[in-house]
Amino acid sequence: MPRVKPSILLSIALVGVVLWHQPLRGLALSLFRLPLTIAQSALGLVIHLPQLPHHLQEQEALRRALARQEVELAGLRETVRHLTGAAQLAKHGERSRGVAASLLGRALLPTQQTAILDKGTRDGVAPDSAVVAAEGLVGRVLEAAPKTSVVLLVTDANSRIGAAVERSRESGLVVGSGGRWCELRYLDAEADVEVGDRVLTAGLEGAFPKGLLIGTVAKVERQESRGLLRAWVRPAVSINRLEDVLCLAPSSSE
Amino acid sequence: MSGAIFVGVSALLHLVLGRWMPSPWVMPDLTVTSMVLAILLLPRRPLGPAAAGGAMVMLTTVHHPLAMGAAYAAAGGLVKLCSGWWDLTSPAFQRAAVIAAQLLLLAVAFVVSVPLTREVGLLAAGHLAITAMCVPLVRWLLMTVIPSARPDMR
Repeated sequence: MPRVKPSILLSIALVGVVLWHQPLRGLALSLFRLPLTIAQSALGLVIHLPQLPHHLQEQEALRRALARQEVELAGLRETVRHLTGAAQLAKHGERSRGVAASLLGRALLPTQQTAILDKGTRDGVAPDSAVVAAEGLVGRVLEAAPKTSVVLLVTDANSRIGAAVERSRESGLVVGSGGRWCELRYLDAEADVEVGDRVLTAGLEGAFPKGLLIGTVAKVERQESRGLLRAWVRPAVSINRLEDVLCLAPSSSE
Repeated sequence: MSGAIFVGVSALLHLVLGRWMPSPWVMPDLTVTSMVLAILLLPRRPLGPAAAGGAMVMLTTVHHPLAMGAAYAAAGGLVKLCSGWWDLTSPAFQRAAVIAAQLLLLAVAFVVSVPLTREVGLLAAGHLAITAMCVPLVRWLLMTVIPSARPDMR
Protein backbone atom coordinates (compact mmCIF):
# COMPACT_ATOMS: atom_id res chain seq x y z
CA MET A 1 0.00 0.00 0.00
CA PRO A 2 1.57 3.35 -1.02
CA ARG A 3 2.47 5.67 1.88
CA VAL A 4 0.38 8.89 1.97
CA LYS A 5 2.44 12.06 2.39
CA PRO A 6 1.84 13.91 5.72
CA SER A 7 1.35 17.17 3.79
CA ILE A 8 -1.56 15.61 1.84
CA LEU A 9 -3.17 14.40 5.09
CA LEU A 10 -2.65 17.85 6.60
CA SER A 11 -4.22 19.54 3.58
CA ILE A 12 -7.27 17.24 3.77
CA ALA A 13 -7.56 17.98 7.50
CA LEU A 14 -7.37 21.74 6.84
CA VAL A 15 -10.09 21.54 4.18
CA GLY A 16 -12.22 19.62 6.70
CA VAL A 17 -11.67 22.30 9.33
CA VAL A 18 -12.60 25.03 6.85
CA LEU A 19 -15.79 23.27 5.76
CA TRP A 20 -17.03 22.02 9.14
CA HIS A 21 -15.43 24.41 11.62
CA GLN A 22 -18.50 24.84 13.81
CA PRO A 23 -19.24 21.16 14.59
CA LEU A 24 -15.49 20.52 14.75
CA ARG A 25 -15.13 23.32 17.32
CA GLY A 26 -17.68 21.58 19.56
CA LEU A 27 -15.84 18.28 19.14
CA ALA A 28 -12.41 19.87 19.73
CA LEU A 29 -13.56 21.72 22.84
CA SER A 30 -15.07 18.48 24.19
CA LEU A 31 -11.71 16.77 23.60
CA PHE A 32 -9.82 19.65 25.22
CA ARG A 33 -12.17 19.55 28.22
CA LEU A 34 -10.14 16.97 30.18
CA PRO A 35 -6.64 18.50 29.73
CA LEU A 36 -8.06 21.98 30.32
CA THR A 37 -9.84 20.83 33.50
CA ILE A 38 -6.68 19.17 34.84
CA ALA A 39 -4.50 22.19 34.05
CA GLN A 40 -7.09 24.57 35.47
CA SER A 41 -7.42 22.58 38.72
CA ALA A 42 -3.63 22.32 39.18
CA LEU A 43 -3.20 26.04 38.59
CA GLY A 44 -6.12 26.85 40.88
CA LEU A 45 -4.55 24.72 43.63
CA VAL A 46 -1.22 26.53 43.35
CA ILE A 47 -2.91 29.93 43.40
CA HIS A 48 -5.34 29.22 46.26
CA LEU A 49 -3.20 27.13 48.62
CA PRO A 50 -1.55 30.10 50.42
CA GLN A 51 -4.99 31.64 50.97
CA LEU A 52 -6.50 28.50 52.54
CA PRO A 53 -6.75 29.79 56.18
CA HIS A 54 -8.38 32.99 54.95
CA HIS A 55 -10.78 31.01 52.75
CA LEU A 56 -11.83 28.81 55.68
CA GLN A 57 -12.67 31.88 57.78
CA GLU A 58 -14.49 33.43 54.86
CA GLN A 59 -16.46 30.22 54.29
CA GLU A 60 -17.60 30.17 57.90
CA ALA A 61 -18.74 33.80 57.65
CA LEU A 62 -20.52 33.08 54.35
CA ARG A 63 -22.32 30.08 55.88
CA ARG A 64 -23.64 32.29 58.67
CA ALA A 65 -24.68 34.98 56.18
CA LEU A 66 -26.35 32.36 53.98
CA ALA A 67 -28.35 31.01 56.90
CA ARG A 68 -29.57 34.54 57.72
CA GLN A 69 -30.46 35.16 54.08
CA GLU A 70 -32.33 31.84 53.81
CA VAL A 71 -34.62 33.02 56.61
CA GLU A 72 -35.03 36.39 54.91
CA LEU A 73 -35.67 34.71 51.54
CA ALA A 74 -38.34 32.50 53.04
CA GLY A 75 -40.16 35.61 54.28
CA LEU A 76 -39.82 37.33 50.92
CA ARG A 77 -41.07 34.23 49.07
CA GLU A 78 -44.12 34.26 51.24
CA THR A 79 -44.76 37.91 50.36
CA VAL A 80 -44.23 37.33 46.65
CA ARG A 81 -46.50 34.29 46.73
CA HIS A 82 -49.23 36.48 48.11
CA LEU A 83 -48.63 39.09 45.40
CA THR A 84 -48.14 37.03 42.27
CA GLY A 85 -49.58 33.63 42.95
CA ALA A 86 -47.86 30.34 43.59
CA ALA A 87 -47.82 29.16 39.98
CA GLN A 88 -45.82 32.14 38.73
CA LEU A 89 -43.33 31.83 41.59
CA ALA A 90 -42.70 28.17 40.81
CA LYS A 91 -42.02 29.09 37.18
CA HIS A 92 -39.51 31.80 38.15
CA GLY A 93 -37.82 29.49 40.67
CA GLU A 94 -37.35 26.84 38.00
CA ARG A 95 -35.61 29.34 35.75
CA SER A 96 -33.42 31.04 38.35
CA ARG A 97 -32.04 27.66 39.48
CA GLY A 98 -29.90 27.46 36.32
CA VAL A 99 -26.89 25.27 35.63
CA ALA A 100 -23.68 25.83 37.63
CA ALA A 101 -20.54 25.73 35.48
CA SER A 102 -16.81 26.37 35.84
CA LEU A 103 -14.60 28.38 33.52
CA LEU A 104 -12.10 26.28 31.63
CA GLY A 105 -10.32 28.90 29.60
CA ARG A 106 -10.45 32.06 27.58
CA ALA A 107 -10.20 32.85 23.86
CA LEU A 108 -6.77 32.75 22.24
CA LEU A 109 -7.33 36.14 20.59
CA PRO A 110 -7.38 39.26 22.77
CA THR A 111 -9.73 40.94 20.32
CA GLN A 112 -12.40 38.33 21.08
CA GLN A 113 -13.61 38.35 24.66
CA THR A 114 -15.06 34.89 25.07
CA ALA A 115 -14.64 32.13 27.65
CA ILE A 116 -15.11 28.36 27.64
CA LEU A 117 -17.39 26.66 30.21
CA ASP A 118 -17.25 23.03 31.31
CA LYS A 119 -21.00 22.47 30.83
CA GLY A 120 -22.91 22.05 27.58
CA THR A 121 -26.20 20.96 26.08
CA ARG A 122 -26.09 17.62 27.95
CA ASP A 123 -26.21 19.57 31.21
CA GLY A 124 -29.01 21.86 30.07
CA VAL A 125 -27.00 24.83 28.79
CA ALA A 126 -28.53 26.31 25.63
CA PRO A 127 -27.37 29.06 23.26
CA ASP A 128 -28.49 32.51 24.49
CA SER A 129 -28.51 31.42 28.15
CA ALA A 130 -27.56 34.34 30.41
CA VAL A 131 -24.37 33.65 32.38
CA VAL A 132 -24.27 35.25 35.82
CA ALA A 133 -22.04 35.29 38.88
CA ALA A 134 -22.66 36.56 42.41
CA GLU A 135 -21.26 39.98 41.40
CA GLY A 136 -23.47 40.37 38.31
CA LEU A 137 -23.79 39.55 34.64
CA VAL A 138 -20.90 37.73 32.93
CA GLY A 139 -22.33 37.42 29.41
CA ARG A 140 -24.41 35.02 27.33
CA VAL A 141 -23.83 31.59 25.83
CA LEU A 142 -22.96 31.91 22.16
CA GLU A 143 -22.37 28.29 21.18
CA ALA A 144 -23.13 25.14 23.13
CA ALA A 145 -21.54 21.76 22.40
CA PRO A 146 -22.62 18.60 24.28
CA LYS A 147 -20.00 19.00 27.05
CA THR A 148 -18.73 22.56 26.72
CA SER A 149 -20.02 25.98 25.78
CA VAL A 150 -18.61 29.32 24.70
CA VAL A 151 -19.66 32.50 26.51
CA LEU A 152 -19.64 35.94 24.91
CA LEU A 153 -18.47 38.29 27.68
CA VAL A 154 -20.15 41.69 28.15
CA THR A 155 -16.91 43.43 27.11
CA ASP A 156 -16.75 41.75 23.68
CA ALA A 157 -17.20 44.15 20.76
CA ASN A 158 -20.18 42.07 19.52
CA SER A 159 -22.03 42.14 22.85
CA ARG A 160 -25.27 44.20 22.97
CA ILE A 161 -27.47 44.34 26.09
CA GLY A 162 -30.56 46.46 26.71
CA ALA A 163 -29.87 48.28 29.98
CA ALA A 164 -31.26 50.83 32.43
CA VAL A 165 -29.62 53.04 35.04
CA GLU A 166 -30.89 51.90 38.45
CA ARG A 167 -31.18 55.37 40.04
CA SER A 168 -32.76 57.38 37.23
CA ARG A 169 -34.25 54.56 35.06
CA GLU A 170 -32.58 56.07 31.96
CA SER A 171 -32.37 53.32 29.35
CA GLY A 172 -29.83 52.58 26.65
CA LEU A 173 -27.77 49.84 25.07
CA VAL A 174 -24.60 48.48 26.70
CA VAL A 175 -22.11 47.72 23.93
CA GLY A 176 -18.78 45.98 24.53
CA SER A 177 -15.70 47.91 23.45
CA GLY A 178 -13.30 44.99 23.08
CA GLY A 179 -11.28 46.52 25.91
CA ARG A 180 -11.84 46.67 29.67
CA TRP A 181 -15.06 48.72 29.69
CA CYS A 182 -18.41 48.82 27.93
CA GLU A 183 -20.21 51.83 26.52
CA LEU A 184 -23.79 52.80 27.41
CA ARG A 185 -25.17 54.16 24.12
CA TYR A 186 -28.32 55.85 22.82
CA LEU A 187 -28.76 58.19 25.77
CA ASP A 188 -30.22 61.70 25.40
CA ALA A 189 -27.84 64.61 25.99
CA GLU A 190 -29.92 65.54 29.05
CA ALA A 191 -30.04 61.98 30.42
CA ASP A 192 -29.58 61.75 34.17
CA VAL A 193 -26.46 59.57 34.40
CA GLU A 194 -23.64 60.08 36.90
CA VAL A 195 -20.37 58.37 37.71
CA GLY A 196 -21.04 55.56 40.18
CA ASP A 197 -24.57 54.78 38.94
CA ARG A 198 -25.39 51.08 38.76
CA VAL A 199 -26.42 49.80 35.32
CA LEU A 200 -28.86 46.86 35.21
CA THR A 201 -30.28 44.67 32.47
CA ALA A 202 -33.57 46.03 31.12
CA GLY A 203 -34.93 42.55 30.39
CA LEU A 204 -35.93 43.47 26.83
CA GLU A 205 -34.16 40.54 25.15
CA GLY A 206 -35.03 36.91 25.77
CA ALA A 207 -31.58 36.07 27.08
CA PHE A 208 -31.33 38.34 30.10
CA PRO A 209 -33.74 38.59 33.02
CA LYS A 210 -34.52 42.11 34.21
CA GLY A 211 -32.45 43.66 37.02
CA LEU A 212 -29.08 41.86 36.71
CA LEU A 213 -26.14 44.13 37.52
CA ILE A 214 -23.99 44.79 34.44
CA GLY A 215 -21.61 47.29 36.04
CA THR A 216 -21.18 50.82 37.32
CA VAL A 217 -20.75 54.03 35.35
CA ALA A 218 -17.06 54.96 35.40
CA LYS A 219 -16.98 57.94 33.04
CA VAL A 220 -19.56 60.29 31.49
CA GLU A 221 -18.89 62.45 28.42
CA ARG A 222 -21.48 65.08 27.53
CA GLN A 223 -21.29 66.50 24.00
CA GLU A 224 -23.97 69.21 24.17
CA SER A 225 -23.24 70.51 20.65
CA ARG A 226 -23.92 67.09 19.13
CA GLY A 227 -26.76 66.26 21.51
CA LEU A 228 -24.89 63.20 22.73
CA LEU A 229 -24.06 61.63 26.03
CA ARG A 230 -21.58 58.78 26.25
CA ALA A 231 -21.25 56.78 29.44
CA TRP A 232 -18.58 54.19 30.08
CA VAL A 233 -19.46 51.25 32.26
CA ARG A 234 -16.98 49.22 34.30
CA PRO A 235 -18.25 45.58 34.31
CA ALA A 236 -19.25 44.25 37.73
CA VAL A 237 -17.55 40.93 37.11
CA SER A 238 -13.79 40.40 36.81
CA ILE A 239 -13.42 37.11 34.99
CA ASN A 240 -10.03 36.29 36.54
CA ARG A 241 -11.63 36.26 40.00
CA LEU A 242 -14.53 34.02 38.99
CA GLU A 243 -14.77 30.45 40.23
CA ASP A 244 -18.22 29.32 39.18
CA VAL A 245 -20.99 30.83 37.11
CA LEU A 246 -24.67 30.09 36.66
CA CYS A 247 -26.27 29.65 33.22
CA LEU A 248 -29.91 30.74 33.19
CA ALA A 249 -32.16 29.39 30.45
CA PRO A 250 -33.35 32.06 27.99
CA SER A 251 -36.88 33.37 28.63
CA SER A 252 -38.16 31.95 25.34
CA SER A 253 -37.46 28.41 26.51
CA GLU A 254 -39.59 28.81 29.61
CA MET B 1 7.80 16.02 20.25
CA SER B 2 7.15 17.71 16.92
CA GLY B 3 6.75 21.44 16.31
CA ALA B 4 3.03 21.00 15.62
CA ILE B 5 2.44 19.29 18.98
CA PHE B 6 4.47 21.99 20.75
CA VAL B 7 2.24 24.65 19.18
CA GLY B 8 -0.91 22.70 20.14
CA VAL B 9 0.20 22.34 23.77
CA SER B 10 1.17 26.03 23.88
CA ALA B 11 -2.29 26.97 22.60
CA LEU B 12 -3.96 24.87 25.33
CA LEU B 13 -1.71 26.52 27.94
CA HIS B 14 -2.66 29.89 26.44
CA LEU B 15 -6.38 29.04 26.87
CA VAL B 16 -5.93 27.99 30.50
CA LEU B 17 -3.60 30.80 31.62
CA GLY B 18 -5.77 33.43 29.92
CA ARG B 19 -8.57 32.53 32.32
CA TRP B 20 -6.50 33.85 35.28
CA MET B 21 -5.56 37.15 33.65
CA PRO B 22 -7.53 40.33 34.37
CA SER B 23 -7.81 40.98 30.63
CA PRO B 24 -6.92 38.94 27.51
CA TRP B 25 -4.77 41.90 26.47
CA VAL B 26 -2.27 41.26 29.28
CA MET B 27 -1.91 37.58 28.31
CA PRO B 28 1.10 37.04 26.02
CA ASP B 29 0.15 35.32 22.77
CA LEU B 30 1.82 31.96 23.44
CA THR B 31 0.25 30.45 20.32
CA VAL B 32 1.83 32.83 17.83
CA THR B 33 5.15 32.92 19.73
CA SER B 34 5.46 29.13 19.79
CA MET B 35 4.35 28.89 16.16
CA VAL B 36 6.91 31.42 14.89
CA LEU B 37 9.75 30.00 16.99
CA ALA B 38 8.92 26.43 15.93
CA ILE B 39 9.02 27.50 12.26
CA LEU B 40 12.33 29.31 12.73
CA LEU B 41 14.08 26.70 14.85
CA LEU B 42 12.71 23.63 13.05
CA PRO B 43 12.93 24.96 9.45
CA ARG B 44 12.66 21.53 7.77
CA ARG B 45 9.02 21.12 8.88
CA PRO B 46 7.39 24.56 8.78
CA LEU B 47 3.97 23.31 7.64
CA GLY B 48 3.10 21.49 10.87
CA PRO B 49 3.47 24.44 13.30
CA ALA B 50 1.71 26.86 10.91
CA ALA B 51 -1.19 24.43 10.37
CA ALA B 52 -1.40 23.62 14.10
CA GLY B 53 -1.49 27.35 15.00
CA GLY B 54 -4.15 28.06 12.38
CA ALA B 55 -6.25 25.01 13.33
CA MET B 56 -6.13 25.73 17.08
CA VAL B 57 -7.26 29.32 16.53
CA MET B 58 -9.97 28.23 14.11
CA LEU B 59 -11.28 25.62 16.54
CA THR B 60 -11.43 27.91 19.56
CA THR B 61 -12.58 31.17 17.95
CA VAL B 62 -16.25 32.00 17.51
CA HIS B 63 -16.13 35.25 15.51
CA HIS B 64 -14.61 34.95 12.02
CA PRO B 65 -12.79 31.67 12.76
CA LEU B 66 -11.80 31.11 9.14
CA ALA B 67 -10.26 34.55 8.71
CA MET B 68 -8.36 34.36 12.00
CA GLY B 69 -7.18 30.78 11.47
CA ALA B 70 -6.03 31.64 7.95
CA ALA B 71 -4.25 34.74 9.31
CA TYR B 72 -2.29 32.58 11.77
CA ALA B 73 -1.34 30.10 9.08
CA ALA B 74 -0.42 32.96 6.70
CA ALA B 75 1.71 34.63 9.40
CA GLY B 76 3.55 31.32 9.79
CA GLY B 77 4.06 31.08 6.03
CA LEU B 78 5.36 34.65 5.80
CA VAL B 79 7.82 34.05 8.64
CA LYS B 80 9.11 30.99 6.78
CA LEU B 81 9.52 33.04 3.59
CA CYS B 82 11.32 35.88 5.39
CA SER B 83 13.56 33.49 7.31
CA GLY B 84 15.45 32.79 4.09
CA TRP B 85 16.88 36.32 4.11
CA TRP B 86 18.04 36.67 7.73
CA ASP B 87 20.04 34.82 10.37
CA LEU B 88 17.64 32.37 12.05
CA THR B 89 19.81 31.90 15.10
CA SER B 90 19.69 35.57 16.06
CA PRO B 91 17.39 36.13 19.08
CA ALA B 92 16.75 39.68 17.81
CA PHE B 93 15.44 38.31 14.52
CA GLN B 94 13.28 35.77 16.31
CA ARG B 95 11.74 38.50 18.47
CA ALA B 96 11.22 40.74 15.42
CA ALA B 97 9.50 37.86 13.59
CA VAL B 98 7.13 37.27 16.54
CA ILE B 99 6.30 41.00 16.68
CA ALA B 100 5.71 41.15 12.91
CA ALA B 101 3.44 38.07 12.99
CA GLN B 102 1.52 39.48 15.95
CA LEU B 103 1.11 42.84 14.19
CA LEU B 104 -0.29 41.09 11.13
CA LEU B 105 -2.79 39.15 13.25
CA LEU B 106 -3.90 42.26 15.14
CA ALA B 107 -4.34 44.10 11.83
CA VAL B 108 -6.57 41.28 10.53
CA ALA B 109 -8.53 41.27 13.81
CA PHE B 110 -9.10 45.03 13.58
CA VAL B 111 -10.36 44.67 10.02
CA VAL B 112 -12.76 41.77 10.61
CA SER B 113 -13.67 41.81 14.28
CA VAL B 114 -13.06 44.82 16.56
CA PRO B 115 -13.19 48.54 15.72
CA LEU B 116 -9.84 50.17 16.46
CA THR B 117 -10.32 52.82 19.13
CA ARG B 118 -7.65 54.67 21.12
CA GLU B 119 -8.22 52.44 24.17
CA VAL B 120 -8.04 49.23 22.15
CA GLY B 121 -4.97 50.52 20.26
CA LEU B 122 -3.13 51.15 23.55
CA LEU B 123 -4.14 47.73 24.84
CA ALA B 124 -2.89 46.16 21.60
CA ALA B 125 0.47 47.96 21.96
CA GLY B 126 0.78 46.62 25.51
CA HIS B 127 -0.16 43.13 24.32
CA LEU B 128 2.53 43.31 21.64
CA ALA B 129 5.17 44.31 24.22
CA ILE B 130 4.12 41.53 26.64
CA THR B 131 4.23 38.95 23.84
CA ALA B 132 7.70 40.15 22.78
CA MET B 133 8.90 39.82 26.38
CA CYS B 134 7.86 36.16 26.61
CA VAL B 135 9.87 35.14 23.49
CA PRO B 136 13.02 34.06 25.46
CA LEU B 137 10.91 31.89 27.78
CA VAL B 138 9.11 30.13 24.91
CA ARG B 139 12.41 29.67 23.04
CA TRP B 140 13.95 28.08 26.14
CA LEU B 141 10.91 25.79 26.49
CA LEU B 142 11.05 24.80 22.82
CA MET B 143 14.79 24.03 22.95
CA THR B 144 14.27 22.04 26.16
CA VAL B 145 11.44 19.82 24.92
CA ILE B 146 12.75 19.49 21.33
CA PRO B 147 16.56 19.24 21.55
CA SER B 148 16.88 19.26 17.75
CA ALA B 149 15.49 22.82 17.79
CA ARG B 150 18.77 24.14 19.18
CA PRO B 151 20.35 26.30 16.43
CA ASP B 152 23.85 25.03 17.24
CA MET B 153 22.78 21.39 16.74
CA ARG B 154 21.56 21.70 13.17
